[in-house]
Amino acid sequence: MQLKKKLGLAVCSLLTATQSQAADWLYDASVLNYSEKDSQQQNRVSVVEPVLSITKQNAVDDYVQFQVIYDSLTGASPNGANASSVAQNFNRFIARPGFTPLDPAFNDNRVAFNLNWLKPLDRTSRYQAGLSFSTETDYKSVAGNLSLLEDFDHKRTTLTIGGAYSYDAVNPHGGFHDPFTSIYAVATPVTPTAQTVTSASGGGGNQEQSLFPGKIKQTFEGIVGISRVLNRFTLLNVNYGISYLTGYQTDPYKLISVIDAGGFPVDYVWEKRPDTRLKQTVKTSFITAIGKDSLHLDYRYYWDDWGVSTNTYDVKYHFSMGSHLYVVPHYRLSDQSKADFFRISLNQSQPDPAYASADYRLGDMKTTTYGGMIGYRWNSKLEFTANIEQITQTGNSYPVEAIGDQRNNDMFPDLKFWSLTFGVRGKW
Amino acid sequence: MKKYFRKTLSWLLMVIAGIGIAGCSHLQPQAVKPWQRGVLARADMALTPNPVQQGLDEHIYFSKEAASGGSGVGGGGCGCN
Amino acid sequence: MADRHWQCQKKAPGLWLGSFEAMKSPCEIWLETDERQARELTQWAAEESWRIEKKYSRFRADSVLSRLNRHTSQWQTLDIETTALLQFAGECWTLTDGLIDITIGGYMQFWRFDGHTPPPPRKQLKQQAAYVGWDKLQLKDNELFLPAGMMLDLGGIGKEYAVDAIAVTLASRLPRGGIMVNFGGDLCAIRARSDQSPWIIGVENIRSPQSSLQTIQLLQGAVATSGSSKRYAVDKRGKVLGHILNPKTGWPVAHGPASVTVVAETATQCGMLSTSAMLKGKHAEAFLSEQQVQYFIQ
Repeated sequence: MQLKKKLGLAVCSLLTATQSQAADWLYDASVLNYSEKDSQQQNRVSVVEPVLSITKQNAVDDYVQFQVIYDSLTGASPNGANASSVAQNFNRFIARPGFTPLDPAFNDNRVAFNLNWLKPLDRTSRYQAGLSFSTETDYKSVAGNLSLLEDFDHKRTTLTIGGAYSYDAVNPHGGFHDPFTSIYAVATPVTPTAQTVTSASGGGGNQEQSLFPGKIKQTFEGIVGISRVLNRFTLLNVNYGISYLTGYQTDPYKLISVIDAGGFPVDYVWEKRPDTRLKQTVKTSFITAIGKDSLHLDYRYYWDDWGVSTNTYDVKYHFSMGSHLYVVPHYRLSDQSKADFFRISLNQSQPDPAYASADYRLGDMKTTTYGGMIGYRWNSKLEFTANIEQITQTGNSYPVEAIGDQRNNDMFPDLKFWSLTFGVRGKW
Repeated sequence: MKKYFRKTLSWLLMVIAGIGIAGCSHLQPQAVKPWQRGVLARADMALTPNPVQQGLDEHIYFSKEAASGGSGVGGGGCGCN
Repeated sequence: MADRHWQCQKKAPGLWLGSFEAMKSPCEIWLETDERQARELTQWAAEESWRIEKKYSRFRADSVLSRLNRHTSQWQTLDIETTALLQFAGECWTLTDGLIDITIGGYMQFWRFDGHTPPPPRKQLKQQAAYVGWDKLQLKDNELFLPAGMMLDLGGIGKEYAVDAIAVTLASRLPRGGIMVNFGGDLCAIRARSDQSPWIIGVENIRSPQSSLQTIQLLQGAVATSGSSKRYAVDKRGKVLGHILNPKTGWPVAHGPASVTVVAETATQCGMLSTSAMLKGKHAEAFLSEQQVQYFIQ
C-alpha cells in the first residue's frame, strides 16, 4: 500500500507538471450599445463601446491579458439645473420650459488599455497585477493594482488582499471655474497651462507639476476578500473594500440653479464637491448549483463620507439548456440615499454652503434592472453571447425642498436606459 | 511456469469519487485541481463567468450611480462620473 | 506524414467510441457526450497520442528520445514534459529499488521480441551492464547528462502516461459524462458513466489470446497489464522468454508469471506495479498481495 500511494503521488506530480504546458490563446470581443431616454421623452446619452480582450493562458492560475476598450459617447446630459416653467438660457443651448436642461455637447471618445496578469507563487498562492491607462479629450487616468491570493484548507478557502492606485487628471473644455460663481461671469476662467495647477480654481489639485494638464485626483484602494467552498455545489465570497480619493472631485461641467422666493431661476453657479472622499463597501456573493443550473446572489452595501449609502441586490439564474445553449435572466436593484451636499438648487437669499451639487447621480435614487443573457456554445472553442438590459432610474420628482415654481415641474424625471451587448469569445 | 487461473469473475469496483475523481484526489487531497472540483469547475459557477460583460456593466453603473466597487481593485478611471 | 486515421462511432444513445491506432496498440476513447464533442475530442486525443508517440519513440530517429540518446556526454536542456517524465522515472527507480529503470535502453537495443530472433550473447549483455543503471546518469532540474554508451527507453512508461494525461485533459474539457481511455489494455476510466453502469473490460487470455480470460467491471479507476502474448523472445532452444528485461541482467525475467494485471487509480500506477510484479519473478504474487490492489496473474 505504501508503494502504491507513493507511486500515486509521483504520478500526480507528473500529470500536473505536464498538464500545464501548452498555452491557450483566449479572446473575448464584445460591443455594448447603450442609450438613455427620460420620461420627458428627451434622448440622453448614447454609447457604443467595443471591447477586445486577448489572454495568453498557460494554466488556470497563470495568464497574461491585454484589453482595449473604445468608448464613444454622444448625446445630451443634464447640466445640473432643474426644470422650470420658463425657458432657460445657458449660452450654448436653451432649455425648453418644463424640461430638464440637457447639455447637448456631451460627445467624447475614450480609449483605455488594461494589462493584467496572474502568476503562481507556490502551490497555494498566486498574485495578480495590472496596469491601466485611459484617455479622452478632457480626462486621463493611469493606474496600477496588485493582489495576493492565498489558498487554505485544501483549496476550500481563498484569501485575497489587494491594493490599487490611480492618478487621474481632468482638463475640461472651457476650463475650470471658481465654485459658486455665476456661469455668466465674464471673469477669465482659469484654464491651466500644461504644468501648473492652483487651488484657487475650485479646490483640489496641488501646486506641484502634474503629469497631465488639468487638476489631479489620486485614488488609493484596498480590498480584502474571502472565498469559501461550502460544499460540492456552493461557493460564498465576502469582500470588504475601502477607497480614499484626494484631489479635484468637482464636476467641472455641472452647475446649480439659484432660485428666488418664487422658485424661478435667477442665476446659475458652478458646483463644488469636497476634495477628499472615503468610500467603503461590503459585498457578499453566493453561488449555488441547482442541478445543471445555478443561482447567483450578490448583495453590496456601500457607504462614504459624503453621506451616500447604497444597498445593491443582484440576482442571476443560469438555465442550462442542453450542452450548447444557456439563458441567464437577471434582476438588480440599487437603492441609494443622497450625498449630504446634494440639493436641487441654491436659494438666492441664503449664503453659499461649503459644498453643493445638483448632479442627480448624487441624489436619492432607485435603479432597477431587468435583463437577460443568452449564450450559445458553438463548440469548446467558440461561444456567442447576447445580453439585453433595461434599467430604470427613479428619484424624487417632488422633493420637500422644492418651492414655488419648482413644485410645478419634475425635479427628477424617470430615466430609462437600454443596453444591448453582443459578444463572441473563444480560444484558438 | 506455474499457471495462475481464476475463474471468470466480475466485481464492481466502487471507487468513491467524493469531491473529485480517481487519481490524484485520493492521494493529494490538498491539490484540488479544476478537473477534480466537479460542479464547481463549471463555467457558470465562477464568481465572474463573463468578465468582459461584467466590466461593461460596472462601467454603466459607475457612470450612473454614486456607489461603485466591491468586486475588486484597479482598472483605472474615466471621466464618466 | 503517414496517413493516420481516427474514427468515431455511436455505441449507444449518448455513448461514443473514438478509435485510432497509436503506440502499436488499438486505442479507444469512450465518451458520454454528443456527436460533435465526441468527434472533436477523439481527434484531439488521437493527435495528442501521435504527438507523444512521435516524441518518445525509440524507433524514430527524429524523436526527442532518440535525440537525447545521441547526445551523450554533454548536458542537455529538457522541455517541461520530458523533465517531468524523467523525474517521474527517477522516482519509480527509487521506489522500486531499481526494478523500473529506463536506462535499459542499453539492453533493449540487442533484443527483438518478434518470436524468432535469437537472443544476444550473454557476454554482450555483461559488457553492456556498465552502461545501464539510473544512478549513472545525472538529472538536475531540467538538465540531463547521459554518459556515453547509455540509452534511455520510455517504452515502459510512455503508453500509460499517454493514457492518464489524455484522460485527465478529457475530464477537464468534458465536465459531465463517463470517460474511459483504453490503449490496448492499459486504460483509465477517469469518470464513471452517468447511469453508474460499469465499464466492462476484458483481460486477454495469454494462452489463447482470442478469448477473454475474465472481465473486470469498473465504475471508475485504471487497469494495466504487463506481459503479452504478442511480444516475446525465444531462447536457443525455442523456449518462450518474456519481453520485460531485468535491469540488473539484461535478460527477460525468469520463473515469473506470463502476465500481471493490476487495478488502481491511474494507468501509470498500474503499469509500474504490474511491471514490478513481473520483475519479482516467482515472488510476484507475494509482492502484489502486499500492495492492496486488485490484480490478476497468469
